[in-house]
Amino acid sequence: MITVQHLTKTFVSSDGKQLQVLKDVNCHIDKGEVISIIGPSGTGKSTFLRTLNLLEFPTSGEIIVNGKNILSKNYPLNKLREKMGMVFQSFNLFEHLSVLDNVTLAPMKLHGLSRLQAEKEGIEYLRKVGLAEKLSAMPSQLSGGQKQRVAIARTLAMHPDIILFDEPTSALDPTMVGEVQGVIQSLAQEKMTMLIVTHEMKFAREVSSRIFFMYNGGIYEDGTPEQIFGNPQKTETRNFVHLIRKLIFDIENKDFDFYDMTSQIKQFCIRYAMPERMNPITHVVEEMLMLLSKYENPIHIEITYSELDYSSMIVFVHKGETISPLERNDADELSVLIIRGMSKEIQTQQTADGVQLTFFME
Amino acid sequence: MEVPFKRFMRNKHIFIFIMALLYVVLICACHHNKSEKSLQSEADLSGCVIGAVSGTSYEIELTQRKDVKVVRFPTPTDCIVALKNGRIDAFVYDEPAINNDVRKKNGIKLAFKTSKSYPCGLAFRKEDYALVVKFNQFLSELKTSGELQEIQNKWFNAYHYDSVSMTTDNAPIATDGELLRVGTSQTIAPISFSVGKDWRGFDVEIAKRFGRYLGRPVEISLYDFAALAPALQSNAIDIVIGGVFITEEREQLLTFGDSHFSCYGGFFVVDENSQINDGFREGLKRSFNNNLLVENRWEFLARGLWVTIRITLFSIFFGTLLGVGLYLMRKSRYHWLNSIANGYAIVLRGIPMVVLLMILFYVIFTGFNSLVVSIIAFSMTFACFVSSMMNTSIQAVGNGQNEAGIALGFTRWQTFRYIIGPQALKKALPHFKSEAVSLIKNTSIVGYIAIQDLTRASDMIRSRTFEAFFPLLLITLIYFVLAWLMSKLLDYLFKWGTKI
Ligand SMILES: Nc1ncnc2c1ncn2[C@@H]1O[C@H](COP(=O)(O)OP(=O)(O)O)[C@@H](O)[C@H]1O
Ligand SMILES: [Mg+2]
Repeated sequence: MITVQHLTKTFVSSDGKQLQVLKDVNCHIDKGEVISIIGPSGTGKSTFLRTLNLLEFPTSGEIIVNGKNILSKNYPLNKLREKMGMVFQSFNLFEHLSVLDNVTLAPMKLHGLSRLQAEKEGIEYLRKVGLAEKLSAMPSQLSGGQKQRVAIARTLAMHPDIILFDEPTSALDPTMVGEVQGVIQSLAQEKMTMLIVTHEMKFAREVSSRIFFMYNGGIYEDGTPEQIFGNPQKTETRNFVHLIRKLIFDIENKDFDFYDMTSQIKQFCIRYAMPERMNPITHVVEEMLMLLSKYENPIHIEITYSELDYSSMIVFVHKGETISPLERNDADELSVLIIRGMSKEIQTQQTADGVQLTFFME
Repeated sequence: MEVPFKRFMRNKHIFIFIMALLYVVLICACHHNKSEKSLQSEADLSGCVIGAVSGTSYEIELTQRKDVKVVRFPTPTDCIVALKNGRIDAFVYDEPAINNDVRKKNGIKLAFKTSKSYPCGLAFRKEDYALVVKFNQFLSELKTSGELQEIQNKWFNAYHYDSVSMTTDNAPIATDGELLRVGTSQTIAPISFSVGKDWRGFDVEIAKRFGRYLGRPVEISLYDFAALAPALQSNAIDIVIGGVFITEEREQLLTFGDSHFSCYGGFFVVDENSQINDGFREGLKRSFNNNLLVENRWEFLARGLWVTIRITLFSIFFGTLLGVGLYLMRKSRYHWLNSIANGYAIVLRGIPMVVLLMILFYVIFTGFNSLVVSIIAFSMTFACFVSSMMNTSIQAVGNGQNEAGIALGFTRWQTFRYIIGPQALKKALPHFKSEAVSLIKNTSIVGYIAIQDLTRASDMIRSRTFEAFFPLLLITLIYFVLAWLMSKLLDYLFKWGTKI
């Protein structure tokens, strides 16, 4: 149904800077497939989705829909968009129209339906997303979850062949995520072709027939949910599906802003709901920096946390050195004691860059 | 009873009107401590506060005296008001212009005449020697026949100017000759003043006779004093009349014909013996009569109102069209169109409205009807406002809904027509309304390019009746009604426009 070949997209900002967001995207989407697109933010998932209905024009490449290249001149773009629904993260309901008018506007103006017909169908779609009783409400009177369901009904009313979802639940309160996911799930059961950008791994796993892992401007790994979540082939995919969060510091010299680093570590711990680890992590980092402060060499620090198994670790690389600072004769004994006490396990490794210490935390 | 009153007070126009009245009352209440001595000659002026009309020779000469405090006013009417309120001790103006009738009605009297007299003449374009020579010839014929003296006596000794007939009144009007365009800034009897659509007065009669002498029809238009010289230089008029003093400074810019009369200035003071203390009702009745009914003066207002309405409505219409065009240029994908639109906005924002009006009238659109020029000028500035208003209100709707429309299959225009437009319009309406209402009032500067709008009409009535407030309050009231009608009209158009 849709084939994408060598798609690239480069944004040029007003001051002439270029940012290549999509580097080389290739994929094929068949009718009836439900594909979830996952990947870290900023890798171009939204951009990819928006090039499919040409809200963004690709810089190069081909998009072939039902055998025709939609990038060729004179391709009837508006007809394409009628058949390719889109649901946005921020709902984008028409604020001046009631719920029912939101759903009936496009069928009336674009498909020439009479008001009566359009409303009859519109109510049908609203019933399907569970909002028939809200038909005369204004968008501002709805909750986020209700708004998103109206947006889905609005898209359905155009009888699309495929629906593109761009993080449909990201702007919702956790309590409302379920109602929207439920609607998408029921569409999947009706064999609606869908492309869903999402951060909800559990949902992606349940609803999809295929997963695209996007990374670094391309589809990095493509497979069934079992393959991608159960047995990912690439490290980046594994890190991502294991929900590994990273915080990285590179200390080049003594002018490093130490207070900013401490505050970033605190925020990181709070964000990923492990405030109890805040103290051990900061202590280990502080003591290590104390030990290393005697030397001029640059230091690389990575703090990682897996949301899947809740494990966390700290990686220290002392560049250009071969001896672990913990094992030096002149190491401050108290510091070494504290560091050993705080970590569950310490591994020392020699790498090309220098000596690397890995602290596994409780 | 209670509810209508609240509604009445809630209406902001009425509220503002009441505030304006209060302001007027407050100003009237500010008195200046009078010096008690009587004024007999120019030497007595020492230490006094003297009113003068700015730009007159009297003002310039008085300013050079260090012992006199000069207060400048735009018209002699304002001088009279200030005198009666005690803000000044005396004022100076052309002695014949403040005739006995005016003195009696206002309770003022002549203290003394200036020691010297000032020669007055008609002014011509610098290079227009042929016309000056002909005029001087014409004038010397009038003088030798004694007719000039006759005309002068007739006007300067008259009590009721409207009953003075002009020798040109019944003469056949030359129709074949080239139009002789005459400009005046005076609307004060007996020099040059208007009665209905007619111009009358001493200078007017001279000009009309001169036209007949040349075999050319005469057209007289009213200009702001400051605009007369540019009007001559840009060929908008051929002659300036209206009791213009011949001064060295002016002779550098203009050429004067021979002087046809000399004028003394008069210093006027309050006449303690006069009794014009009729009650409020009587006073109002008299004002109403003087300002509106006598000589059908209400016609000035009616004509001025019609001019103001036309300028406002056409400017809003064309300004909105032009503004939409500017907005589209700003949003165009062609860089040069953006630059033009931005440049236009920057340039126009920096030009005061009066200057824009003058430049368009005297430099760019010379030969255009002044009404058309004023509509062009106001459309141009209104367009700036419309394009920036569109920008803000469309941005306020947000790009999300725009994308949602496009993604559903609407074209860019349909998205605007059904989704963005109606919401942006709703956001823009209050701003548009207040801008349109202030446009009505801003049009009052068109007097600079010889258009007699509502404000100018009240000036003309004031300079005939020498009444300070009645005409002003009257037009204030009219402007309020116009503002109210405008906002109703826009509400109506908005309702009609947002129906899908
Ligand atoms: N219209 C645009 N102009 C310039 N840069 C953009 C534009 N849209 C997105 N980007 C940039 O492209 C990158 C990818 O964005 P996006 O596709 O939104 O990523 P994702 O949806 O995967 O988080 C980001 O760095 C973003 O800043
Ligand atoms: Mg995104």
